[in-house]
Amino acid sequence: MKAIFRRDWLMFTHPFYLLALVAVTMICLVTAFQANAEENVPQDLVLMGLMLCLMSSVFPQAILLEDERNGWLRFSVTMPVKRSDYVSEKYLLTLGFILLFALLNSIGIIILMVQTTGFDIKEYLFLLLATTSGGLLMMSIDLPMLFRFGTGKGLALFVVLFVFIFLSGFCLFAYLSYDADGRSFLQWVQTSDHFLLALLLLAVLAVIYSVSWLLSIRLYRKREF
Amino acid sequence: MNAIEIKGLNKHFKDFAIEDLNLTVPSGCVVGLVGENGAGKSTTIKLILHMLFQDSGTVTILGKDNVKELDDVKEDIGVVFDECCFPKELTADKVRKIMRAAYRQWDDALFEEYMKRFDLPLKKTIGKFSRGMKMKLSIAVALSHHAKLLILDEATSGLDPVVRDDIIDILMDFTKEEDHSILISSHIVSDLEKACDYIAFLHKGKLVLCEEKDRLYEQYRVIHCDEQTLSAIPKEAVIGRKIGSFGAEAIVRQDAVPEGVQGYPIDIEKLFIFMVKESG
Repeated sequence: MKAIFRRDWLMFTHPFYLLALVAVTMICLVTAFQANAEENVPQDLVLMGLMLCLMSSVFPQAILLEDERNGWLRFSVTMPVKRSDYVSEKYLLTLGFILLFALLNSIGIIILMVQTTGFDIKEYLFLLLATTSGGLLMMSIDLPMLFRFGTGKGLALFVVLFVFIFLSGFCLFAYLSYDADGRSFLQWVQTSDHFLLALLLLAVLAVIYSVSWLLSIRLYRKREF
Repeated sequence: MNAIEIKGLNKHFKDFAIEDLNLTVPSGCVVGLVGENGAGKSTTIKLILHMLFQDSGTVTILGKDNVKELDDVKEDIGVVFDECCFPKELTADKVRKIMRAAYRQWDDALFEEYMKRFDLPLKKTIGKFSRGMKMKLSIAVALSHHAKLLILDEATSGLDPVVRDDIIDILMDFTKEEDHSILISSHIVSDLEKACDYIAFLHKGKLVLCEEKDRLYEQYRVIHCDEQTLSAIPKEAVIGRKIGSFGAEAIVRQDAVPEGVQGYPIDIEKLFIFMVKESG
C-alpha cells in the first residue's frame, strides 16, 4: 500500500492538483467573506458545503481516472500490491480529502458565522457534520461503481444513481410536506437537536462507507483487466 | 522447476476463446509467443498474471498457483506491457521512489545503472520521453528488482529496429543467469528469432506449435517445386503451402522432402506465416 500512497502523493504534488486546491480554497474564502448578513447566509453556507462536498469526490475520481487512462491500474495488478490494499488506499485517500475539505469548510463556516449571525457551536457542528456526511454518501456510492465498472461507465452510472437519489429525496420531502404525518415528522426534525441528528447521520454514513469499502474490495477482486 | 506451467487453460469470451492451452516456460529459457494480431497472446499473458480469470485449467508461476499464491511470487516477476504504464507527469526518479516502496528487493544502484546504459534522464518527465525511451524505462523498472521471470507483452512493437535490437540485447543479458526466464509475446517474429530458445505459435486462441527453436530449424525445410510434386508429399508432413503461377512453395518436414528437390533452411517468420495461412 505504501507504493500506491507514494504514487498518489507524488501525483498530488503536481502543480495541476495544487493549483486546483488553491482555487477551491480561494472560492471558499471569497464566499465566506462576501456573505451578507440579511440575505445570503443560508444559501452561502449550503453552496459552500455543496461545493466542498463535491470537491472531496472530484480529487479521488481524478486519480482513479488517471490511473486507468495511463495504464497504472493494470500495472499495479502485476506489482506486489494486493487488490484489497489498492482499494483501501483509495478509501483512505478519499477519507483524507473529505477531512481536508471538512477543515476548509470549517474555516469557511466560522468566518461566515462570525461575519453574520455570530458563532454558534451547535449550528457550526451541524453544518460541518452535514457536509461531511454528504461527502461520505457520494463516495460510498461512487467508489464501488468505479472499482467495478471502471471510470467511464462507473462515473456515468454514479451520475444516474446520484440524480435518482437526489430526486427520490426531493419527492420524499415533497410527499412529507403534504402528508399530515409527514408534516409532524418534519416538525419533529426541525425541533429536535440538529447537532445530534447530524451526528446520527454521520454515524449511519460511516457505517455505509465501511460497507461500501468492503463491497469495493469484493468487486475489485472480481474485476478483469 | 519450470518458470511457467500452463495446463488445460480455457477462457471463453463472446467472440473469442483460449482453448485447452498447454505451455511451459522452462527455467533459464526464453519462450517467444508468436501470433497474428488477435491470436490470443495478450489474453494468455493476462491469464497467466490473473488479470483475466480462467474458466478452467491451471497456471503455475515459479512453482506457485496463479490464483491462490500469485501475491507470493509477484516480487520475482517483472512485467512490461506494450505501453508505458507510468504517469506521464512523473519523472523516472519519482518512479524509482514508488518502486522502492513496492518491491522489497528494489535495487537503486541497478536502476541507475540501467538508466545510464539506456541513456535515460532521471529528472525529465515521462511525458517528454519518446516511445523507445518509455519502453526502456519500463524494462529498467522490470529488471531493477531482481526478478527471476520477465513477462513482456508486445514490448517491442512500434519501436524502431535499433531500439528493438537494444532491447533484445538487454533481454539476452538477463538470461545469462541460469534461473532467469522470459516469456515474450510479439508479432515481430524476427525479434523473437534472435532471443528465444523456444517458439510457441498461437492462432485463434489455440497453440498450434511449441518447439525448441533449433529443432524447428532442423525439422522443417522450405521447398520449391511444381504442384504435382507437392501433392505427392503426405499431407501431415506439409506445414504450409503457397501455390502461384511459377510453381509451389511449401514448408515440409525434413524427412518428407522429395528426392531431387532442394530443401532450404526455414526462417521462423516464414514458418509462422505458412502455418497461419494453412490453418485458415
